[in-house]
Amino acid sequence: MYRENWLERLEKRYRWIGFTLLLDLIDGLSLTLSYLFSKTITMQYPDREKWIPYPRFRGHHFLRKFENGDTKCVACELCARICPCQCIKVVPYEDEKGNRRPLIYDVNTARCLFCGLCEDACPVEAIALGQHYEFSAYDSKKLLVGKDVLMKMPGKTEEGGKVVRARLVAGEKVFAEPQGKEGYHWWNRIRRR
Amino acid sequence: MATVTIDGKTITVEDGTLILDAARSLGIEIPTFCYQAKLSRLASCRLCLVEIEGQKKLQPSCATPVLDGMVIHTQSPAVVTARRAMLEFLLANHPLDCPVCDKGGECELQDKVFAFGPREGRFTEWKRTFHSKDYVLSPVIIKNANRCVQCQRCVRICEEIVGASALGSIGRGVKTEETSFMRAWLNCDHCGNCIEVCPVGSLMSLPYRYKARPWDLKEVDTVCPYCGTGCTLTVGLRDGQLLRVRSRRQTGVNEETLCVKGRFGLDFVVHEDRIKRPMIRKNDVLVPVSWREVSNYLKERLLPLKGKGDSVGGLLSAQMTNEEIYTFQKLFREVFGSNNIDSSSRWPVASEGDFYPALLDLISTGIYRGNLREFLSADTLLVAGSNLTDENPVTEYAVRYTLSVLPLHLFILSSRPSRLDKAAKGVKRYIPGREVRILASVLKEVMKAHEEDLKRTFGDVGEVIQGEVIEDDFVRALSSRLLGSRRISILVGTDLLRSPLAVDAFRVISNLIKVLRAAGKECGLQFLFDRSNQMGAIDMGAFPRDGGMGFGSLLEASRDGRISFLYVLGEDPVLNYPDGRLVREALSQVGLLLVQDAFMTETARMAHVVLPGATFAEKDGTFTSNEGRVQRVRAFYNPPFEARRDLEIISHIASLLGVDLETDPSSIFAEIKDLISPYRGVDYEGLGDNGLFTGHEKGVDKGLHPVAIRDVALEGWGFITGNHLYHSGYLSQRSRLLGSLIDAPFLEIGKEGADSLGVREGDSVKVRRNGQSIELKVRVKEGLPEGLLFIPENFGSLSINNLMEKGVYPFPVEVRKNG
Ligand code: SF4
Ligand code: SF4
Ligand code: SF4
Ligand code: SF4
Ligand code: SF4
Ligand code: FES
Repeated sequence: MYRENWLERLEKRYRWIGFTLLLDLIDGLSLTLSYLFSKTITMQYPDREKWIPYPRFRGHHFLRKFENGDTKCVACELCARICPCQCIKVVPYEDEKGNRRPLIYDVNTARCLFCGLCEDACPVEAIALGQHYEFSAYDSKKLLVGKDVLMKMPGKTEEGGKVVRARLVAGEKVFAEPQGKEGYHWWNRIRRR
Repeated sequence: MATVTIDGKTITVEDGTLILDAARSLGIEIPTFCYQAKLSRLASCRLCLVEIEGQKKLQPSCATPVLDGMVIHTQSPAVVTARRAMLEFLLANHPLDCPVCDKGGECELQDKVFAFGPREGRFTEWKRTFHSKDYVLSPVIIKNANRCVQCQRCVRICEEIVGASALGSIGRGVKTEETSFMRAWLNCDHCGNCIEVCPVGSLMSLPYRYKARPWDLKEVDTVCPYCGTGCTLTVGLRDGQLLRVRSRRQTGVNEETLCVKGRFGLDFVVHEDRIKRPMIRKNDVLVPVSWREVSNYLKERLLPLKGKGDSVGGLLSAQMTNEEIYTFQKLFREVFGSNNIDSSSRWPVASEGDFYPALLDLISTGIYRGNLREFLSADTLLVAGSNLTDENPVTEYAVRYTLSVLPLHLFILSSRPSRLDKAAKGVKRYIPGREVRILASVLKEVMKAHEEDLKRTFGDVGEVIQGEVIEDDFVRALSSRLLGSRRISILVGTDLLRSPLAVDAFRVISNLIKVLRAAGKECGLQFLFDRSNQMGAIDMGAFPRDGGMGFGSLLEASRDGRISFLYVLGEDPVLNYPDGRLVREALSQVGLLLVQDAFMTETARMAHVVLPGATFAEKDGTFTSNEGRVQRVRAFYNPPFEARRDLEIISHIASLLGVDLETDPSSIFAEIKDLISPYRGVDYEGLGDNGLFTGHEKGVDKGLHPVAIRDVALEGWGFITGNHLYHSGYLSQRSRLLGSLIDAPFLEIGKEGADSLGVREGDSVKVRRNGQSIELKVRVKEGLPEGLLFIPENFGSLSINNLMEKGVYPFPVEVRKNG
């Protein structure tokens, strides 16, 4: 059986003193007050700032390329096989050079749960989940992306986790465009005691 | 009998059973690589090693027969280690190609390493590579030797089963490469059986290259639509597109083999030449119309003909399902009151009135409705009137296999040389029209030896054979062999059916069977029909009965203007009726020519009304193979455009005439089962992977038929026709792949004949008859009898039937070297 020790008993007995003097309230308000004079923590996304994710982040898929522009994918269909949502469709073909390549490589990002299993399964490190995350659409059909789009998608960030200055682009696509690489890590601005 | 203990379980098996088979019958799985049922034993991969108590070394279970009292372990530590080691050796040189290899997902090496293999390799040496890019071996095969595991299954199947011996091994040891001679382009059968048995992705199908993974494929089991051998096959579809055809292990008559037509020739179903919608001839052109319009038109034209039996007729293809054939003949017999039905336009060529009765008599006397493999386990096999290699390739594989395992004596009586000749104990070439004399001579010999038995069975038979018989080595060898055999099987090919003396030939064969049976021997026959459901068509009654007209008589009646309605279903007589002039003339005189077909055939172009039918890919039903095996045909496509299933169209036509006919195949089959005696024991729902055999009907034994020997004389050159390995009928003509294997029709001529004409292989010759002439390239074929030429039928571009004439065979022609 749990038995309170003498310190706990003492604290319980004299707790009413703190209550009457509003000590907790003062403590809380002083933290709030101090934030009033610190740097802002709220990210100004998408108008002025944008968060660049870490390399391990699992955003929009992309297909890696060789220097000559060919996709690295050999259309083995393992990604399609492992995908728990069955959102990848690969149809192979033999290209002019005699290599096995995808004729069709479609990802239905509307169904994808960004688990990253496709990336794990790929034997040639062709498919991967990158840094891009601003691809919401009004029409779910737009979320079905093909090989050409995937080959143009940004890959993984080199150094991520920063908030950088950005500009809102609101044309056909709406996204925040980073302005320069300099940024800050937002959690540095959190005060801890 | 031997009793052995395997992994603690005891089983008693026949002497000589392999340990592997004994274990499998106990449900114990032993991994194998080089073992392939029905091929000679190699025992080179050592994957199937087992431990036998009392023997120090592990033994290959695929080559070691059981001995009484053996105690065998398949899972002992020594076996498991050895197995793993063997796989490690195989992997030492195996490239890491799985992602790009077409076999991935159904590869035996992958599966075995996954199940039994090492988890890592220890070899650090370079892997041996033969080449860096896959090379094409034939229009259907692409090869990657780096992946080969040297199991030699390809080499063995090509040699022992297919008989093409196109593959071999070059190099030795780890550098052995199983390929063609000098890695050159293969001029083989293109059957793809080597691809099927290759456990890894070393031999791959070129048409299926880089198209899918096995798990993408939806597979449907169906039956080959080409020849009557009736191979079962499995089509693999991705997104509704037919990608490949494979056979299934130990299933059906074909048991994992197929011929080129079955494996690669099914792409005809997507040929663009499909009839898209109904058409009616208006102002001499065929105009597409709606189903409603064509129905109204047909109703108006057909109603007055209802019950007018004599002036209507029907011809249907023997590649239709039993249910369609049954319904078609029912439409004619019950609605039109007509017996003018036929299911082949290529034979009979003469004596039409007697043909079917004689054929039916032969069927009821002699046919063996049962497994071909059992049928072949006889003492003597006579193949009469067929180039088995070209006409029924898979039947030929079965014969070749049987020859390798049983003391079967093969005799071949055929006009065309074939690859089986080498394996035969006796071969006789003849000019069609002389087969009756040869067969009758054999019959006479046999009768002479069994006079007593005959008297006992048939009483006084009198002079059965009238005419002069011959005595030569073949006749002597065959008859003495028949006398010495206990079990005799006869395969009757389409060459006999085409002969003007077919009726006599049937009678002689029927007599022969009866005589041999009277002598206490087992004797039976099977046909070598070249159409998938010819047997079914005959069973369903798709032939003229009770005074009806066969197709030849129908044509003559049409020419005289006596036929007001001719219904042609899935046949192209304009192209393949052996009298081009007659058929064109006759069809143009028919009052209403209705052609129902999937493709725009030459006959359809002449029709007044064209209805868009379906291919075998779009329908459900059954085929009856040459063995009398009923098998399920399953739809894997939907009829395109406005096309309909043929069954629906036939009963639609009946409904226009106020009669309701069933359209559901299973209910029609139930009716067939009730009415047609051989089908009594066959249940539509019970048709499994192997189908079901029809039963024997008891023939009425009418004693022996007297036969007068006649000869058909041939002076000068004459040509015969038949199927080519790559082509049979107008379906194969619409297969792009089969078309790519053979670019042009040709003329086969014997060696002496070629010399006397002064032509060589590849030269062009002119063949003339009655003012018509065609040009052909020469192929010299050793073994064709003198004076005889062979031109494959069914090359649409050629219309060789312009050189043919009803009632004649072989067709006399003039041949001249071109230029
Ligand atoms: S991330 Fe997961 S769900 Fe998305 S495509 Fe890849 S495997 Fe499928
Ligand atoms: S992305 Fe990778 S796993 Fe997917 S098909 Fe291509 S190579 Fe195979
Ligand atoms: S395709 Fe057939 S004939 Fe040609 S090599 Fe292979 S098994 Fe032999
Ligand atoms: S090509 Fe295939 S079947 Fe032939 S030996 Fe090699 S692995 Fe065996
Ligand atoms: S042998 Fe006949 S049934 Fe078999 S695959 Fe060839 S054509 Fe088809
Ligand atoms: S399967 Fe027995 S040694 Fe290869």
